[in-house]
Amino acid sequence: MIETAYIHIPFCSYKCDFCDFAAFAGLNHREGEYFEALSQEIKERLTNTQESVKLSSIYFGGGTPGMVAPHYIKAILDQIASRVELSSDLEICLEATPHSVSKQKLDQWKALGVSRLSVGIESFHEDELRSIGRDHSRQEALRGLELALTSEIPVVSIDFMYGLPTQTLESWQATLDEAIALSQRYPALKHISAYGLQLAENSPLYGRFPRDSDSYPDEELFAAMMFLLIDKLRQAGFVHYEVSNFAKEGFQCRHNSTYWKNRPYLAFGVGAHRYVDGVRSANWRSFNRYIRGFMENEFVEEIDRETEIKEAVMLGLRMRAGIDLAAFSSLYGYRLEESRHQEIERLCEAGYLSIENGRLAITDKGLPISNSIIVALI
Amino acid sequence: MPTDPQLIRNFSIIAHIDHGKSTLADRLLEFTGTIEQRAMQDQVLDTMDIERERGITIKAQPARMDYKAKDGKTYVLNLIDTPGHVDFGYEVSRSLEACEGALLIVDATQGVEAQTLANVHLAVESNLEIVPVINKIDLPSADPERIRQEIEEVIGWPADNAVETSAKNNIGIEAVLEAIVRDVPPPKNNHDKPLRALVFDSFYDSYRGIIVYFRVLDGAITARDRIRFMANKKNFEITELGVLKPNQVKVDRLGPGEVGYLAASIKDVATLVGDTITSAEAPAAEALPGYQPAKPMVFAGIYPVDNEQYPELRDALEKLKLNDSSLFFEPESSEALGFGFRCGFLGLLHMEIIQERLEREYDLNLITTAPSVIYRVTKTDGSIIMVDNPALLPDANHRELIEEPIVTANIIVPNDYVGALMELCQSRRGVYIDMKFLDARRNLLIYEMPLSEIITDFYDQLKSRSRGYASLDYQFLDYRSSKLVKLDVLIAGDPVDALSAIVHADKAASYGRHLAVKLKNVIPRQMFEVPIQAAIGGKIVARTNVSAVRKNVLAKCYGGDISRKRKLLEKQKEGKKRMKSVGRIEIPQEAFMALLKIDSETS
Repeated sequence: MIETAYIHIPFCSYKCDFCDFAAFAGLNHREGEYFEALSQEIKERLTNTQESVKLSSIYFGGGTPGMVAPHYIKAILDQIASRVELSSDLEICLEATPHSVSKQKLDQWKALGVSRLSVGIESFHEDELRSIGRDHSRQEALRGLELALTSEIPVVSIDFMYGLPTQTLESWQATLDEAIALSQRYPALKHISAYGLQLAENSPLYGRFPRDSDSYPDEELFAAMMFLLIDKLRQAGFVHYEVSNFAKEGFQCRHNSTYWKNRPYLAFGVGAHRYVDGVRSANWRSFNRYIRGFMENEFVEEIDRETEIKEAVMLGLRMRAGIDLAAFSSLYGYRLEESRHQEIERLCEAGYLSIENGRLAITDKGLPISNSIIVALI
Repeated sequence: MPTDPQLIRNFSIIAHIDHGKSTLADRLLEFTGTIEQRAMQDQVLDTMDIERERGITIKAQPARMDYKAKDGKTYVLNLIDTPGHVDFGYEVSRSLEACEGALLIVDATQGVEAQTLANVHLAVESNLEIVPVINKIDLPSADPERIRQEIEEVIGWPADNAVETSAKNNIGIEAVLEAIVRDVPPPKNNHDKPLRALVFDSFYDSYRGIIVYFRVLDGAITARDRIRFMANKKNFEITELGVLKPNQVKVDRLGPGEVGYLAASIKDVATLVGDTITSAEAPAAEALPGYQPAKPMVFAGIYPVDNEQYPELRDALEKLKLNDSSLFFEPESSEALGFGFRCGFLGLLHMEIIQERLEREYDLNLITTAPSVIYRVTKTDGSIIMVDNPALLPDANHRELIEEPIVTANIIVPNDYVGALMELCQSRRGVYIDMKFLDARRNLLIYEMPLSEIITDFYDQLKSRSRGYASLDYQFLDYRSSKLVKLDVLIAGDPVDALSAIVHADKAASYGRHLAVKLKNVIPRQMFEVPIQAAIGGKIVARTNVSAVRKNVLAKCYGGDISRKRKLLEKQKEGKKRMKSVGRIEIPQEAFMALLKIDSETS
């Protein structure tokens, strides 16, 4: 049963220097064309899907879905609602930048059923915003965020980045303190994501801060930033439920949890990736190519059992609750704790892994090197 | 019909690396029409990829040519190619046994080199006629007159008739062929004696069994014979008889002096090379002298990275041994590396080549430990043991004396670099014996040196300090007692037996420090901090740490990332598979060779 759908809206006011997604600035004049193709794609794909579909989550990601006129969002939601069953507690989430938020849009989104807003803040520090090439100031960030937090949309999520050039442990702490203060003032702030900077090759950021530049925090400092993040948000009452995600109890992101539970998901729009009928596939990432052939795949990978198990380990260990070993074994017919007995024992001894109540999880200590741990287990 | 021995000439080629041996061989094959020009590729007789890539000959590969000489007669010329590197002196002597003459190729711009000298002496001792050839006469700096003089003075062989050639530009090729016909004696015509043929090479063919290369000395062999290998005392029915042109061409019969190959569904015979083939029905009374088995000088452990490849490694070594009887191996086990083999080699190049052939031809993933010589150890109870693995050296309180092999090193070096090389030899515990002037520009330096010093990067140093002009040859001299100690390496607190080394006491501490740093640089960072220590007799002489990885995490892993990030992790996993897990530490292949490269930094 497929329960989640992702809709990619690629338009942006500005392409950030660290951005590696299918996101385009300056293409707004082609919004009409895009939404027509998108709507058509949804119609055709939903007609062809083998697995049964009952959606409990629809996620508008980008790009900046908050930037486009809400009537486009409405058209997409209508298209979906006319073709598949929707769960009564459907969660509709939409990503926005602080300066794309307005009172009017917030009211319209609420009217469309948007129940969750994800606002990209990245940093409350002016220098850091500039260093990573964001096109909003600290003041704009706070203004947009407060609008969102005082709107009728019940859940607001914000995201930050750390490990940024020029960032220090003190400036990171200040950003976190400010976020926590906001969460105490506004109960709608129920979710925080914080991503360690991870740069793609050829990222424009390297133009100003080359890969080996001293401006990036070193490994030791990076780990310290991660531990600070975990401690601070935990103390503030957030549950750390995935490597980079924190939520007040019960407000975990339903959509993203689908990925980490290795469940199937639908996806529509330029460059969007889906996992349907045991196949991972993706649409064209080029805007024009997508418009010309929105039903074509740029990427297709059939997931065999061995690969499925690897992915389940890789994704499952991202969740702080870890992997339910009994459920894992009955789902995949593979006893991870037996096949990797030696590694698990060794890593538990070192304090990088833990097994509690039948769940295998990476510990706080292991988190900054979670790749090394996962590699030992796949 | 077998060829009239009067019309047969069997010869080999002696040359220094890069003096043009393989090129001249190619030209001879072309000129005699053995191989058509359009079918020609460079280094025809060097059949292994490694040979072509490195531009060296490892393996003697025979070729039969028909040559119509100026006297109107057609001769059969059998070329038995030889390797030029010091490690393969043994192969050279085998090839020489099957010949009556040898071409001595000397580069007209360089002169006689140390290995050439050693090989010519082997040829002269085997009563071969030497045919001097001065190659590369087309080069502007060629000085054939000086070379001629040098051949006479250094080797003591008349060179006034030396043929001048440029194999590259096809000059003088016919003159070489004429000189072979004129100067190389024909084989003796022992057609009335019982069959005796000398096996000089063999290799494994998965369809036909072991293929044997031989030369007939007495009598004749036919394609229907039942034959007997005299030393192995085993009989076989010939299934195929032929000559090498250089491709295999079947024939019916081969008589005295002829060179050929045979197949006889031979399996499970360990050492055929050096054996005598005779007739099973009418055997000869006595076998041919055969060969002295080659003595391996350098020993190293070879281990599969993946322990499950152990049986495959054993099979591969057995097959390689078939056409490389100088390869020695016996099973051993290491606490760090599991089950593997202690292998003996003629020298470092031989070791490298064996490792490369095992990895390439048999698709094995191997760890080779640092090479060691064989030490003679007198224990406190008076017993004497030979130690070819440093890990097995008895503790200091159980040994009375360690003796190490000493060689005589002959180094030919131009005047400008004499000082630099003397310094090098001195730093490697060399004892100066003599210096001889070869001509106005070049000298022969003679040192007595521990072999262990020669196998640790000495040759590379010799080459780099002489800008490539010096050449080296060495022979085993004797065993001498020396102040030696065992250096142990501890990784994460545990001794790694495969990293132990026997080193001179005066150098041990500095060795230890360099080794620790070297290991720190080649061992990748892991999830744990990895302390590295070097110890002598339980006393730590050096310590350093490989710091732990602190950051290896994917911040984002959403729908579009999953395949890509899984592949990233799979790649990290692959990288680990090429390393050996020692306890919980992953150690790459290079680490085991780190000791080899230390001397260049300390001396």
